[in-house]
Amino acid sequence: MEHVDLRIAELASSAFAASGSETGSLPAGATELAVTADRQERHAAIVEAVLAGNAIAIPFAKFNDGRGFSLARLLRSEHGFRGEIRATGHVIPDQALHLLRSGFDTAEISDADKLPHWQQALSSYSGNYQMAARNPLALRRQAALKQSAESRAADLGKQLAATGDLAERIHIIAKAVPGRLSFSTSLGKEDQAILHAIHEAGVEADIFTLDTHKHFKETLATLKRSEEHYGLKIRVITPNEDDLRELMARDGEDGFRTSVAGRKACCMIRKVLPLNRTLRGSAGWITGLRREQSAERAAVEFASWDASLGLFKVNPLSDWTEEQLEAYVSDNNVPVNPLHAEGYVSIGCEPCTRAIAPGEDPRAGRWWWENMDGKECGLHIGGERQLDKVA
Amino acid sequence: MPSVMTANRLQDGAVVYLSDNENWITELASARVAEDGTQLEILQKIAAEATGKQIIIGAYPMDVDLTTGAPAAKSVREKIRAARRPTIAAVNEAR
Amino acid sequence: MYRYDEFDRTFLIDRNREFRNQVERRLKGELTEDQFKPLRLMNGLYLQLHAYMLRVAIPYGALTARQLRQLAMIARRWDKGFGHWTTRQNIQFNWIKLVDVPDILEALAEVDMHAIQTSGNCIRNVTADPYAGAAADEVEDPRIWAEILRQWSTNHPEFTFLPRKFKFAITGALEDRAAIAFHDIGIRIVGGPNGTVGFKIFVGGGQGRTPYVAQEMKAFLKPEELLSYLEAMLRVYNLHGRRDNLYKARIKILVNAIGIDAYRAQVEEEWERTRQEDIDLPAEEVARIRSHFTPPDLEARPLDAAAFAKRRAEDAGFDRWVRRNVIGHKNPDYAIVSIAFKEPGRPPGDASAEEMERVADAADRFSRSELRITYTQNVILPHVARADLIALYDELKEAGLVAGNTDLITDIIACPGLDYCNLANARSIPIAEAITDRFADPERAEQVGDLRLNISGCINACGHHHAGHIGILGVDKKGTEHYQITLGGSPDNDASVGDILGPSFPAEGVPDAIDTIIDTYLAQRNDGETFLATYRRIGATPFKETLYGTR
Repeated sequence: MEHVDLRIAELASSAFAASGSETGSLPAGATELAVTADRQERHAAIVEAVLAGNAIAIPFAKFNDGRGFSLARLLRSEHGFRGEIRATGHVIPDQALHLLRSGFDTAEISDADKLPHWQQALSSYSGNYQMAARNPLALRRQAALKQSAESRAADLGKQLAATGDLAERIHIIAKAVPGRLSFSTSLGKEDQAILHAIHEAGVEADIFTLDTHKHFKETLATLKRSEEHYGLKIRVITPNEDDLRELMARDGEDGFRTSVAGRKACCMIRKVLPLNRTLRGSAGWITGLRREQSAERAAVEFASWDASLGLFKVNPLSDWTEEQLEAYVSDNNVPVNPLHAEGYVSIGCEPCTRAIAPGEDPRAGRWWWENMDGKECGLHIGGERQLDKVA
Repeated sequence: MPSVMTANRLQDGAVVYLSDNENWITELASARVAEDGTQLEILQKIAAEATGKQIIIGAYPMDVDLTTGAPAAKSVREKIRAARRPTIAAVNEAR
Repeated sequence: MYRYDEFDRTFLIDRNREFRNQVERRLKGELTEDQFKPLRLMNGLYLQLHAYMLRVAIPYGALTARQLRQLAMIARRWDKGFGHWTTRQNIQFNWIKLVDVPDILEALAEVDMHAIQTSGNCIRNVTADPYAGAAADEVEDPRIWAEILRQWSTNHPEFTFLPRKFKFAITGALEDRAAIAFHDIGIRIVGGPNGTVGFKIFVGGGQGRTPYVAQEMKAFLKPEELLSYLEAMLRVYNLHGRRDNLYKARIKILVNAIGIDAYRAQVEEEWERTRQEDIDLPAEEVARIRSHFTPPDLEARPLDAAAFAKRRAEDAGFDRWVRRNVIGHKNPDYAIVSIAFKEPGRPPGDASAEEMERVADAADRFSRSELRITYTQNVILPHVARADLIALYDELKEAGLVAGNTDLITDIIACPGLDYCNLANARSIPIAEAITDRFADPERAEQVGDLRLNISGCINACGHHHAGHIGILGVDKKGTEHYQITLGGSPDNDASVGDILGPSFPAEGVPDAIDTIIDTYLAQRNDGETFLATYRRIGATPFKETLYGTR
């Protein structure tokens, strides 16, 4: 079987040009999801795909049986699934863009001779009227961008670099982002500083936190205290109960301790999928990432275009040092999580976070039983090609 | 029952009939008539080939009336097709 | 009128390039007919009895004079000099060659027109009130939202391979002139709290084999909720509509099988999960589209009432035309004028290239270059100064387009029927012709009064027979054309599906049967009572008795 990677069109989103095929390099494993699948079956397929590192394959019995399009769309929007979705069975090149824009990544085709048709089809439109399930903004009608999203992100980055004032940076972000602005807070020190600046700047944002049901009680107390202090509402987003039940059934209560895949699946269900769901429809996402936090975050930019979420990811603290952050927090009496004072630096779920010694890598307190590479929960993985890291 | 093969021409959609010399022609009166099932099978095979060569589409056998010697359509639908125009006098005069 | 910008034009160029490529692949044999058929249908191209038929979209029935002239050019160059107004406000050309279609589409694109989604199992061209922007009873101009729906539904990634075709109609007026009750989704613009405007949504209407009047789905939707709600409605249908049986695949079957409440519950649950997704357009995009429908600046044009009255008194034809074809405008100095394409010798809705050009000239001179097509297969000039009515009438009279019969028994809706259509069981046009001849005396037709008579050549009901006060359905009875008559249908605010009267009639018996029905009505009606009102009062029995005799 040949595969067509539909994303080649999207990755070159500003040019919409297909360039070369990437057949044969795709993961072989796939969890099949029938087009008749109900919500329960979709949850089960997602958990299975996440645990096994599989794609989700949606079979088309006939090319004009359009249920698969809605199903892919649901996996992306309702479930927040960001792994590979593959079309199998009877699909035709003339459907390439419908597939891609409904959320499919790849199509399995039986006839390699048709590859040129697929590539041609992928580059056949300069723009579309609707948002798409992936990459909504770049394909949307009014964003028939004279300027590509990437270069807009670069411009925003330059503007942010030009000022050191955090509230001013928040202002700039709110002005540049063409739609809903989201701020996901972990209630850590960085995010508390940003919360303070959002309040000071008087900018409207959807502020939310991901409650994994495994947080420290101190973290939850910080949430309450912050709401009172700033008179703001912080939405609490919880994991999907069906996903959790499915995960427990397949991997047990402590699956996150027994394997890296199990731990990452736990992160996926408790944090990543809820985050993806919450960010849908958002035009910008503010995070507290700093380059200093870890080797992996050393290249974090002020602003970048996240093609898979279809939004600008903005990191207004990316250039701040620990000292700058400390000074900002104490100068402005920002309420902070009391755990910081006990040696906890990066605070996540209680079972997966510990205090670190002075001089240790700041991320050394997370998943300390795993080796040092790739200590990300999956929230901050950009780009399609790195999805295997999440799963 | 005598029958002929009819279809529409792919390029312009015109009503056509299979003729004696294996051409697809627009005059029903000159169409090749199959007198029985065996003869019809031969015509159907020719039609399948022409379909494969992008000459015609939607070929099917149709019963004809041979009272006047030449094949003529029997149903209203086939009479309208064979006439190559609608049955509205005013329209046909104008066009 | 909505004017295309660079984005819209680029999209059309891309679409036409894609279709040209599909036609080339078909001619070379890279696509079989089975593969090509859904692709060509998605672009309005059918194969009929004599030739291909191309159905060109006239979005929500609105057209400019320039666009109409281009349609005339296409009719002359690539057809036999005619076009046909369809029963969904479009135009179709009946004598098209496949090899010409890519060039025709390019000619259409020159005037910002296309054939996108005028067929196929996708969201079809949205129909709307033909008096939009001019009607006195309007809450808001529905063209704004019809255009938004056009853009949203064009090449929709998720809803292009639905179980079956999907039709929207929208009205912004108190009186429904868009037959919203007979559409998969009908939308009525209504006033909401604090002077806001929003939408009432209906679902599951339709004609065909199983006719239904649409049911109310949602009492009020805010403008910024419309598209996300419609997506939820379409998604539930796309996933759960039947795909095993062509005749049970429309949304009306799903809605009636599970019940409107169950369908609504599924949609609302889906909507709650996805409504935050930024599907609805941002306010500035709605404002951009709205700005294209700013009402024209109509200067005061007082009517010389004496001269007007004199002409009416002297010229019975003009007087009748004013009575029947001139409709009130929201500006009292102006009128909406209906140009009837219904008179003896003309298949309902057929228009020659020359007539199209004459009408385009009239629109330029008298109606701000604007035109509308009605689903009853006539043409509307929406903004005519009353002071210009005499001049307009004289100009139209020269073109032979002044039949004063709007909404009379001779203003017949008819599909092309077996004379052109591959699906038909019987001819429609000769029946329309015979009835038009029978009621050719305009005084008699006016005496009968408002009457909607609709004819379909098969059960697909393109001729809206279910919604006719009198409906005629062509059936095949052992190889001969027969016609079944229904009474009591209505496409309006009081929508209803007609009742089948009894056994069908052979073609030659139809005009007499209609005569009998009309005589029965005239004998039974109270003063000022319309045919429909009389039928609803007395029921079918008196008509059955006069038609079939007492049993």
